[in-house]
Amino acid sequence: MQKYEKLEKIGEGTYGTVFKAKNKETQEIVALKRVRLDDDDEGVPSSALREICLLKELKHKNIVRLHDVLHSDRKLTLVFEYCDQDLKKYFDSCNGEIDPDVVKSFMYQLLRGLEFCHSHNVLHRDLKPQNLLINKNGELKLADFGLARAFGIPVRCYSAEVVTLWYRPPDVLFGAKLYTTSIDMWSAGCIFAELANAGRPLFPGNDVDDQLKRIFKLLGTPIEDTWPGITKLPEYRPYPIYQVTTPLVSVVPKLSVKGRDLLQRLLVCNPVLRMSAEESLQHIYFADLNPAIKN
Amino acid sequence: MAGIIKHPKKLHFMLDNALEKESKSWKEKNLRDTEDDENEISPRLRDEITRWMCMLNFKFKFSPETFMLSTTILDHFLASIKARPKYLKCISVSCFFLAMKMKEEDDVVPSTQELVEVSDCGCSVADVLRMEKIILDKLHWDINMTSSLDFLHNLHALLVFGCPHFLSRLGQMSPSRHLSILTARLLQCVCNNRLTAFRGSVLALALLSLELEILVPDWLAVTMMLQRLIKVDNQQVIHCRETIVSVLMGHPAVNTVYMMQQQQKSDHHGVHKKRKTTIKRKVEQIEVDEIYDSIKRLYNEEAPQDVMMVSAPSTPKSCHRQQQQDSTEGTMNTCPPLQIIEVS
Repeated sequence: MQKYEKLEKIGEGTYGTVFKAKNKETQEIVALKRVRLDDDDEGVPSSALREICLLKELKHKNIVRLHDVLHSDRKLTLVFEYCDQDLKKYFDSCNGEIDPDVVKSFMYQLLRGLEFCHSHNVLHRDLKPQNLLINKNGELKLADFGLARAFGIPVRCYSAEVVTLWYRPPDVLFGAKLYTTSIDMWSAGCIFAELANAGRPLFPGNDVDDQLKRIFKLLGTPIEDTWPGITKLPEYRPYPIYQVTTPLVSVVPKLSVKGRDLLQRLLVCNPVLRMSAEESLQHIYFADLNPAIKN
Repeated sequence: MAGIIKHPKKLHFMLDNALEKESKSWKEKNLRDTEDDENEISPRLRDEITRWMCMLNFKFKFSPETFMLSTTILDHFLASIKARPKYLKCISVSCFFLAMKMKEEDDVVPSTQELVEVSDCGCSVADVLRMEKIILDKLHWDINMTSSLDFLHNLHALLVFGCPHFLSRLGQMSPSRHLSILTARLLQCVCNNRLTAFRGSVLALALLSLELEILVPDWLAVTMMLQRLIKVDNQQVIHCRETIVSVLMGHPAVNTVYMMQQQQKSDHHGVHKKRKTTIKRKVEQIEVDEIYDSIKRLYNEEAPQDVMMVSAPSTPKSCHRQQQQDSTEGTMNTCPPLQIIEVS
């Protein structure tokens, strides 16, 4: 007899299909991520393997909880806690307006989940609104660890083919393979601006070249002086020197001065100078955050 | 180093996390010495198979972390089940498969078919997939394990921060090249079942302590400082050090072959040739170089440097009595300075 009763299909993850389901014994609503194993001869896909092994160790209120793994010869089912929607769908439903307190709360929770990952040596590498889940209580949780990776002290050469284009940092866009936790901090900055603008993406580039131009037009083109080593990156190409002409306030008009300061510190082209998750949680922008969210 | 690890505080935090994880998953390994029993996996068979996995790891040009995770998974699995020797190769290749999916990027992970062919493991794709499932189920998917290599990285980085001059006796030896030499030595250690009796943290500390003994006069104080960090008693460290010495004895890695930076530029060509011939003679040197390539960026060292061979004092002496004496009297042991010998 099956332990879970499927209710409806929710979507497609990086691998496998996601269903809403009910635990027949406890009546608890869960999300099932189903991976077929009989399609090829590769066994457990590496993305599923890493997601399971890493999530088993990351138990935190801002990270989606993996309850169980059902492993048969033909399929693999991951049982997750159920969340009502992802941030992308939330944007679609909020009619271009998100309360500044909600922006602050979501951003804080995103950074707190991220800080937990980073302090446990895990890089997410695919942060975007679709991978942030929101539940009825206004809780935000990091999900989809299919591209995530445990890192050790010698930060090795990792793949430059990570992070969805719009949320990919300039160092990775230039082919850097020595990125570290800073890769996720850039994505967090992009999501922060998108939250403040109720779902309008900050850098919706069409390709790598267009993506870099959009970034440099807003932040100024980095040069060796501001970013030592930039010209030595594997896929470095010179770009026109754009001067910063658009103040950040016109890009995120609804964000407070303190919020803009935080955004500015996350959106730093040189990864070494980008703010860490731990530091960002201490930023003054969060000083007046509702204490109920902080605890 | 800047930009990767910004604060030693972070290193301490990572170390505590790793220690916590290690103590949760630690299992006493008790492979019985059953040479005459065909139905059990003897310590000798376990060592043979780990050396085979190490060879495979180099064949696929994977990082040392991948090999270390493979053996860690293997040892945990062997400690939790009773397997027949005829399945050992299939178990090992499956552990290796799992470790590479965890540690390597997708674009370099071979297909199961390719793995089976290249490794010549004698089992089918279906066998490997079945075994993969058994291993995951048996270990409850907890395969993101901490290995002795993680501890070696961490403790070595702490030394680079805490006593930046600990390499000064080796001339211009870079920290990352030094770490590669230690890594190659550690790989030899984990291929010997006698050292599986020790936790990874203890093994890494003991290995580092033997090295400190020939590098710094106050090695004992530094060792004890590290001991406090990983919360292990003298007895265990001494026992582990002695086991490492006897395990590495006779292996080329024990007669530490140090690489020192070339000081006189005018000598460039002569020295370069010398290096090449030496490498041919020292197989383990190739391993060190491969490891070095993947580690050097840790300390922001890019360009490979011209090197010449210098041999360090041979086998570290058994220090059991010495260490006990020193710890009771609180005196420092001063060791003779490194003698630089040119390799012709």
